[in-house]
Amino acid sequence: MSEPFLQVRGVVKHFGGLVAVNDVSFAVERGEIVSIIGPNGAGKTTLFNLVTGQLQPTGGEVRFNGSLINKLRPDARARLGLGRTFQIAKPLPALTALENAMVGAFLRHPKLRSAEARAHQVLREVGLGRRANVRASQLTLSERRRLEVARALALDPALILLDEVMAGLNASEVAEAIDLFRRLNTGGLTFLIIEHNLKVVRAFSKRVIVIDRGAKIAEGDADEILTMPQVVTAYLGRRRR
Amino acid sequence: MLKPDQTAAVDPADPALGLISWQRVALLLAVGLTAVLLPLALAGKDYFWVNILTYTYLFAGLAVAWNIIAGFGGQFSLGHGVFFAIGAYTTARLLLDWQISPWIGVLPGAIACAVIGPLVFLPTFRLKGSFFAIATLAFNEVGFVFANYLDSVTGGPRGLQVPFRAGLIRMTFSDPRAYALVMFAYLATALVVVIVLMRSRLGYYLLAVREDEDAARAAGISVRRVKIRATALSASLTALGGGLFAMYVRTIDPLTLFSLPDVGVKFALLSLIGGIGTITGPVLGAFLIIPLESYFRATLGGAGPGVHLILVGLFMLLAALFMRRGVAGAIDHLWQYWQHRRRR
Amino acid sequence: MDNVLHILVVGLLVGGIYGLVAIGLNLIFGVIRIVNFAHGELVMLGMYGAYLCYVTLGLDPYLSVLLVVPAMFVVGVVVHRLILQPLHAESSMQIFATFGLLILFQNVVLALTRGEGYSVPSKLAGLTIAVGDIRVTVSRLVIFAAVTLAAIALHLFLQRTLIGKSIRAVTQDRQAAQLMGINVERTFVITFGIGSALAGLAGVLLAPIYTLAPGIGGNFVLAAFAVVVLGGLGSVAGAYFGGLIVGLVEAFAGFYIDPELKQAIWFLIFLAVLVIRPTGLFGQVGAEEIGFREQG
Repeated sequence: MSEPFLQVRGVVKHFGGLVAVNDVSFAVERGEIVSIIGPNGAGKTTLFNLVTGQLQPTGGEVRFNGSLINKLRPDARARLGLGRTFQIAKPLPALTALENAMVGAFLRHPKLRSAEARAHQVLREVGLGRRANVRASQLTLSERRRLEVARALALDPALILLDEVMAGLNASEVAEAIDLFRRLNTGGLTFLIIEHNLKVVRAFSKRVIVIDRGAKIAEGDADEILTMPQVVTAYLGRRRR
Repeated sequence: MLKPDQTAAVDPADPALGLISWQRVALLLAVGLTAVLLPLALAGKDYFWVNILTYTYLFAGLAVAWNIIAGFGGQFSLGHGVFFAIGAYTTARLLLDWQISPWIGVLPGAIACAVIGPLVFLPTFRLKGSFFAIATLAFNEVGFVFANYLDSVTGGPRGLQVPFRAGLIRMTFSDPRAYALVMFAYLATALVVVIVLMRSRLGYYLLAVREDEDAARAAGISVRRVKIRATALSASLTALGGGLFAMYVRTIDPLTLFSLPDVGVKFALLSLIGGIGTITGPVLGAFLIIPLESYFRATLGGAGPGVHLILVGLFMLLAALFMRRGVAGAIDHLWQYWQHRRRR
Repeated sequence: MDNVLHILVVGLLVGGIYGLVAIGLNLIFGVIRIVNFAHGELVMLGMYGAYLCYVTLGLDPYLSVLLVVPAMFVVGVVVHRLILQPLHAESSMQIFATFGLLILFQNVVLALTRGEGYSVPSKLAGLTIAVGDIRVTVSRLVIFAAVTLAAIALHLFLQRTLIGKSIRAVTQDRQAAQLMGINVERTFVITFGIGSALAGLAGVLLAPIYTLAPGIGGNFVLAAFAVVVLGGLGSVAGAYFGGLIVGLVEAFAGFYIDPELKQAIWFLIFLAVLVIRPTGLFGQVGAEEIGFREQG
């Protein structure tokens, strides 16, 4: 059995006395789409930050493509093929959408023209083709989120981490997004996503991991997961009789 | 699918001059440089104006160099006077002690600063905004003290004098217009460097680092490497200008080289007035401020000590209040307005 | 041993001067985060204010404090309202503007005085007191006393009064303070006023010691920045003790290393502090992280 693409093993994160992530382990295989769900404040984004390098784990290991990446800085991890979006989109405000995407594209396309071409391509894919020359500061919230995704895609990542990208999108936008991600997945991109929208989770992901209060409380198929009692409790609280 | 309008003319405040073709860039540069050279041609033998233009070209180039790390990189340095001084002292010393032609002699100072700049700035990079500014200010002051102290190298408070012996090899000319051309060449060089930079990966990465370091890292950018390279470029270009300055004035001392209002802060001033973070901004700022300052000094210098500087100070205040994004920003503002009307 | 005591006293007294200038700057830089280049000029205006009072009203500088300090408060309020407040979102322009003020103030005074040096005599100032074997001039002791009193007074003001508390709140977190209903702009104006008034106080007390010249502000302002950073933004204790430390370092370095390198040495210390512990001795951790963007 070959090593999983991304392996998170016994990862712990302390912030002073607060245990934000408590002994979480899971794996993502190449080509999979895995969702992480859980109530607000459960530690999902912290987990992402531990995987992509914005935070260092207090304990445990993160392995990508076989190698230990605990000590690597975020930019090194990005260069290895880990792309991510931020929950609150971080566009580069003074730059146009195209230039934003180019910043990502330059990683694999060091020349100006090819970076530009790749940038145009990803912008089209996320539906921002016509907004290429608009300054990022003037984009709408939903457009900024797409720009986030575009910039991450421009990196030609092997594994992409999406942090609640669907938040605030309407039904047709969600459908477009799922379409896009499915296509990219068929093309070989592995997905690890944090999602609140359970419909999306069901439609899109193969496997679901549930995080509550920093710990993994369930893992499995999308349909089974959502009927498990501990998961229901985590979201809705214990039923009073 | 709409392709961006590449035939549209250029937004003057765009850091990269847009993604227009290199041919167009070259054309624009040629036009711009001709415009810049025109006053010199018009000045003819009026050495008063030739002198002003010489300073203008030089300081425009210095402001362009400063803008690399400060405008595009977002690191507002008030310590570039140190690089300026290193360039000046090195060039002068090499000529005085070893008769090395300044055409070559300006290079060691520039190369030294390409190393010293990042070395000295790197530990302070993580300081933000005002803190970085005053840290670099401190560098300038330390430099001033050491320049006064190490008189075997720098000639101490009296400084160094390069005797006048006309000769191309010595970069010393009887016709002041030759100096103006040298400074113009410096400005042209600085502009070419910046244009190539901002249309390269490093340039885009620099902007990304300025805008959001976290987002930059997530895009695979090594923030430290980018800042080092940009500082190296900025510092060495500044040192180059310093070397040329030494050959023009031929008397250099710590008071002149480390003077904040005349050197260290002036680079910032020119860029801010002209439009920080743009390619044309520093040049516009230089062409506005330096002739104005000289004009004030010439006409009001006799009115009493400090009178012309009162006007300079007032002008700075008004400029700060009413031209927030500098001249380039104001032009860009009009530009956006015109584009908006055109689209209707 | 004699020497050490002497240097100690000199260092403390010089430190008192630095502290007095820094205490006002500390408020301005610490709270509003403006690199106020013109702070030295505010001190200078205080000095010339004392001169004016002497020449027109015959007042001893230690009395003209009562006039000059409130006047400087007003100057500060006006400057902030007219020039700095509109530039709130553009920090680099603010720096530029304070530099313009520096040039403006310096040269207005230069033009008015035509470059003559003035002195402001004071009956008390010239007297000396013996501290052990050392003779100390009263003027410097007054400054030491003044900075101590000012530090205590300011500390109490910040801790006990409502305005003081709002200043502290704004220093810590501008947005949170705003959400709490604090009028951040008004706080800034008052802070700048107080900072200017303190600069004026420094100026008046320094007037008997130095010969007045328009450029004299420059002597103090950079040292003051070093003190503010060393002591920690917004910390009154920091400005006070920071000043004393800088004074002592300067005195000892001047004696044991080289008097010529005095200035470089405390700048190097300042840089070391910035790099190792940017918070300063007493400051709030993370305060220095707030950069240009967030300032807007």
